[in-house]
Amino acid sequence: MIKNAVRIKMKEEVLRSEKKIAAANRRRLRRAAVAGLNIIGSPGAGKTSLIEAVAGRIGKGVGLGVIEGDLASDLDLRRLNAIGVRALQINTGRGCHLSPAMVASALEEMPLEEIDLLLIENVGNLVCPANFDLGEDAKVAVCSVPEGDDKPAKYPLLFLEAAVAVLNKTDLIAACGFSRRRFYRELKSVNPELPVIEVSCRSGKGAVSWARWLRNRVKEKRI
Amino acid sequence: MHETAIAESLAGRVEAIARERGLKRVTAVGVRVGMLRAVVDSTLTAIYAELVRGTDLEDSRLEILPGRVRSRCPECGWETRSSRPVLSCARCGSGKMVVSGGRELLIEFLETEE
Ligand SMILES: Nc1nc2c(ncn2[C@@H]2O[C@H](COP(=O)(O)OP(=O)(O)OP(=O)(O)O)[C@@H](O)[C@H]2O)c(=O)[nH]1
Ligand SMILES: [Mg+2]
Ligand SMILES: [Zn+2]
Repeated sequence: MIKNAVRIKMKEEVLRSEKKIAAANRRRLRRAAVAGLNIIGSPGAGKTSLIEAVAGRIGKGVGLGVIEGDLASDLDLRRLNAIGVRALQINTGRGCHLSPAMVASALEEMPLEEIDLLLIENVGNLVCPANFDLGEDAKVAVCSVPEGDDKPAKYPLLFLEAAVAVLNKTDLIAACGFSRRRFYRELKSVNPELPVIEVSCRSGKGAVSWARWLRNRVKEKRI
Repeated sequence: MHETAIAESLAGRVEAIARERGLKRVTAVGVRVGMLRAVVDSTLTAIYAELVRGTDLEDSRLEILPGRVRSRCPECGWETRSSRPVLSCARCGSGKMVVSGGRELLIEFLETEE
């Protein structure tokens, strides 16, 4: 008997269950009036340093909570605990990004009623985390000067999805021969509207602006 | 390697859809992958094949359909499709392009035999 191939057309979301879980996380954060930020950047760009910089500057009225995503180890968690920041570690093992399900189980364990600002440090990587919505209010793209001035052009998705870009390690601009003009040109060729905050966690320059940007996200969420 | 996570979700969805629709043997899966997702086709195909080996989907071949980014000029109507956003109009020079698409991850067809 000869068999005929039959093509059945459809439009089915591959990430349907991920989207559902992300939507549930988003509802959960809204109910608890928590501003959730998904912080994405290359390994070593300074994601944890940026969270440390916020801890002392966010102000007493804002409860800070952190979810730390790492392949393995709890080194970043210990850094945050050492300065008194409430944080929870997720080890993704071989996973190159946090999944919405991982965040859902972290939210179960966190005292959300005491938290106003939830910073989620994603696994160090520019490509994979940009692909998965966790239910956050906004994504933060972290770049750092030693990585070079061409990152936005190479990894457009993150810079399209992000609500803000942080350019960290500005103290190294001269030493690295980093071209600000080229960086901004590449960024504008991907997302002309994206605001950029320049920071040096080393010197503290710009950290106040970064903390202010986050405080504004908290205010928006309280209304 | 977000291809691993995508392949796992994909295999799970195809299995569920085949079950819902009573398809005994799936021979091909057409999946639209937006180019902004930076998926390496050969990686996704290889991981998918690895995942379905020894399952009911063993005979299904993955066909990746590229989802290009659509950039359109609202001023003069010029439109282009490419692998990344185009932000200035090649016809009238306007810098206000409207960008859509390029983020899809959709199963667009399954093939079966009867
Ligand atoms: N010169 C300089 N070094 C910095 C700055 N910010 C962070 N660093 C250093 O960069 C290194 C990496 O910083 P982290 O904050 O651990 O980076 P991360 O993005 O959290 O790294 P992973 O979690 O491993 O992906 C550390 O040695 C920091 O001290 C900065 O503004 N200037
Ligand atoms: Mg870190
Ligand atoms: Zn035009």
